[in-house]
This record gives sequence, structure tokens and C-alpha cells, in this order.
Amino acid sequence: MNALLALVRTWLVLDFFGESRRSGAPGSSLTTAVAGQGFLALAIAALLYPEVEPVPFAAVNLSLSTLLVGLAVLGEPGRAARARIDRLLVRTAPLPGNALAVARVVHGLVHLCVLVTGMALPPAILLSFRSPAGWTTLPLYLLAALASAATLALAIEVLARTATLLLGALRAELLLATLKTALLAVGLAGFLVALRHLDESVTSLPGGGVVAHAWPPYLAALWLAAPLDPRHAIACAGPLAALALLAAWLPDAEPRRDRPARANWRDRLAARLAGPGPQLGVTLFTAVMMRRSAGFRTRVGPLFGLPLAVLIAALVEGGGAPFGWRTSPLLLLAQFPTLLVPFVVGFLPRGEQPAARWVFASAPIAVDHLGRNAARITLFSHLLVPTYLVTLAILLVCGVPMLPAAAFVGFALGLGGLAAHWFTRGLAHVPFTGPKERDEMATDLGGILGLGMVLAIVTVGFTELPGPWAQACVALLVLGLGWPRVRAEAPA
Amino acid sequence: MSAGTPQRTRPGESLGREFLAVAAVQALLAGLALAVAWIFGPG
Repeated sequence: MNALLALVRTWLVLDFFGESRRSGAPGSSLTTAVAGQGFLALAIAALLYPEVEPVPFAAVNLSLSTLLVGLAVLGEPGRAARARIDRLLVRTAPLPGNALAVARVVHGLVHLCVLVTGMALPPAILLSFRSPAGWTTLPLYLLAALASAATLALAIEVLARTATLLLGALRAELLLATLKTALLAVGLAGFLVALRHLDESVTSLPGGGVVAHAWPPYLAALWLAAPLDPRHAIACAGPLAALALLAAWLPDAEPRRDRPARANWRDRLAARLAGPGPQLGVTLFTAVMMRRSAGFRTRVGPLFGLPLAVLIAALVEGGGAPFGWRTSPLLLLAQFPTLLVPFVVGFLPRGEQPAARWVFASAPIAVDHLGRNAARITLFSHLLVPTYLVTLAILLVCGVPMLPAAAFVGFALGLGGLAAHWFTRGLAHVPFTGPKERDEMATDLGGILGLGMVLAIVTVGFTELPGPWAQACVALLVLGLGWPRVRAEAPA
Repeated sequence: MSAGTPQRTRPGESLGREFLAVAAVQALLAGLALAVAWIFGPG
């Protein structure tokens, strides 16, 4: 019993204070997060109260709390490192039979209660006033919020373990970081779409409500409306029990040896831009770290989730052609990758292995300007070029003709190159080798606002140009300006 | 905690205090939700 309590207590201390220990900030980061999410839930519930019917009201609010818990579970920093420590310290400890499993369940429940209760209380209270069952709804809503959050958290846990078994710990962590972006984008898009259909039946949703019937919060909302109906209870508890059994059955095994990264076309582009010599080494180091650093992916991915969510919602609601070519909202949305450049640059200095700095610090040549070049080149080759290729595909799918779409993408890439050049000039050292305590983003707000305004003005100006050929000429000009600034340059 | 017990938390880190803080936030949220229900309530 003592061992069990000690384990739960230690894990909770890590949950509450792990992040603040890493960053050196006083106080608990979890408590701040709980407060922020609770007020968000209160705001959404208050906006929907009292016009919306109980079932959609509960479904939207349960979806919010479940999604936020899912994002928190996916974004857990150092997940693989904690699993490794547990494997080494806890599984070798002389614990009685089921103590580890029981400790995991207790810790999971306490952690989930801390995360969920704050978000579930406001809608639960408001729903109690609205529901015919009165105050009995309050505990039932809290239970439903816990159950649906637990279902998503367990599904993520099952996925994480399966991915660790199949792909290795590092790739599993990268997969979860990518999944965080996807969950944010799809969840936000679903939220936006669902808000428009609150007064209608679930079959009015795109896809006839098939997705809703597989989404735990909606099933939990149905159960709340008729708690004694066994069909709804089974629909809620069945997946939860199945996932719990699966998570218990899947071995928490030693991960397979990770394979080395293979060079791809983006690395080759970066190498070509870097040229030969030490610059090539620093550039490829930055490129590999950008791809393989789970922390970087967890922080940068969600930035792209927001524009992606707006795009998905617009495509779903607008039936494939949401924007007119000349009206330019689509183009403003497509400028997001360039707008995000300063944010990404802000995340570049910090790495998970700051000791890597030693390798560069002991080099016989000065490498700091090589680091700046590398940041600029990899931002272009690994961030801007891939995202604008995807943007080109989206523009073509949205019905924009080939020439204007290509002209716009060339124009945006040129602007992106210029932005990358401007915002990386302040980088002090090679990316991913910064000191660990440097947690805050090193971005200047004025620069970001300025970039946003410039992008908005030039994009609107670009769409006003007379005809696609003029646009293509301007695009070539901007690309001609941006491209040389991306290439490696000698120190001043 | 007796003198010989190893310290599991650092100075300034108290689980009990954090739980209390979370409970206080929840109580505040519940109070605000009650106020919203009372002001905008259906009847």
C-alpha cells in the first residue's frame, strides 16, 4: 500500500511540477492549465445557455473537454523519457503482484479528474438547470465527461503503445506529435461545423451524423438524456472497457532499436542550398533535428492546426468551393506558413539535447553564422516548400486554375524566403543547441504584427493585379528577390 | 516527515497545496456557472 501511494504521489508530483522544474519557473504549470481550460469551458457553456437543447448542449461541451484532454495527453512532454525511467526504476522494484497496474489506474483517474472536473463543472451546473431530471444531471454529467475523456485518453495510450512496439519509441513520439496537429485541426473544424448545426438534427451534419455516432462525447450526451436506457449505457461503457482491456493487454515493452533517418528530397534541397563544406554539416544537423525532434514538432505542429481547421471547416461546409479566387480569403489563409515563420524561429534555439552544443563549440571554426544560414535554409526547404506544395494542391482542388495558383505559390515562397532571412538574423547559435532553461519564445511581437500587415497588403495587392500573366511576372520577381537570400552566405 | 525520510519534493512544491488551488479554481467556476444560470436562466 505504501509503495502504491509513493508511486502515485511521485507521478503526480511529476505531472504538476515536471514542466516547471524543466523551465525553472515557480509554481505548477498544471494548475494554470486547469484554470485556463475551465474558464474556456465556462465561456462556451455560457454562450450556448439556455437556448440550445440539452443533448446538443451536452455534446458540444463534452466534446470540448474531451478534445482538450486528448490534446493534453498527446502533448505530454517527455512521455518516452518517463516511460523509460519507469521501466528502469519501477519495473525492477520489488512491488507486490498488481501494485503497478493498480497504481497506474489510480494515477490515471486522479490526473483525469484534475483535468476534467474544472471543465465539466460549469456545463454540468448549467445543464442541471435546463434538464428535466434536475440536479441528478450534475453527477451524471461529471461521470459522462470523465468517461468520454478516459475513452479518448485510452485510445491514445493504445495507439502510443502499438506505435512504440511497431516503430520504436522515437518514431512513436513523432507520430503522436503529428497526431496532435491532426486532432487540433479536425477537432476545431468539427467544433466549428457542429456549432452551425446546433438547432438541427444530428443527420444534418456533413456525412449524415455517422462520425457523431462514433464520437464518445456525443454518445455520452445521448446517455445523459436517457440514463436508464441500456443501449446508450453500453454504447458509452463498451468502448471504454474494450480500450482499457486492450491497454492492459498490450505489453509496455522495450522499444525496438530506432533506424537512422534516410535523406529525402527536402534534405537534398537543403544540401544544394547549403553548398559544400562545414555549412553542409550544420544544415543537415538542423534539418534532421527539425524532423526528428518530438518537442519541436509538438510545439510547431499546432500552429498549423488552426489554419488547417478553418480550411477543413470551409471545405466541408462550402461543398468544395468555399472561396472565390478574386475575393482573396483563401489566399490570405494560404499565407499562414509565412506568417508562422517568426513563431517557428522562436522555437528553433531550444533542443532536447543541449549538450549537442559541445560538438559545435569545440569546432575549429566559428559556426554561429553557419547556424543562422542553416536555420534559414531548413526553414525554406523543410517548412515553406512542403507546405506551399500542399497549398498548391489545395488551391487546385478548390478550383483555382493552374497558372494563377502556381504564380501565387511562387509569390508566397519568395515572400517566405524574405521573411526567413529577416527573422533568423537574430539567432545567436546553431539551432537545437540552446540552453535548456531557455523556454520562452525569442520572438518580437512588433515584427510579427508588421509581417502580418505586410502579408495582408501585398496579398490583396497581388490579387488585384490585371490577369494571371501579370501575377506570374510579379511572382517571378519576388521569387528572384527571395531565393538568393535563402542560400548560404559568408559571414559579414 | 521525520528527519531521516528522503525528500520527494523540492522546496515550494506541495501536492496538497496544488490540489487546494485546483479545488479553489473549481469552486470559483461553479460559482460563476451558478451566477450565469441564475441571471440568464429559463425561469
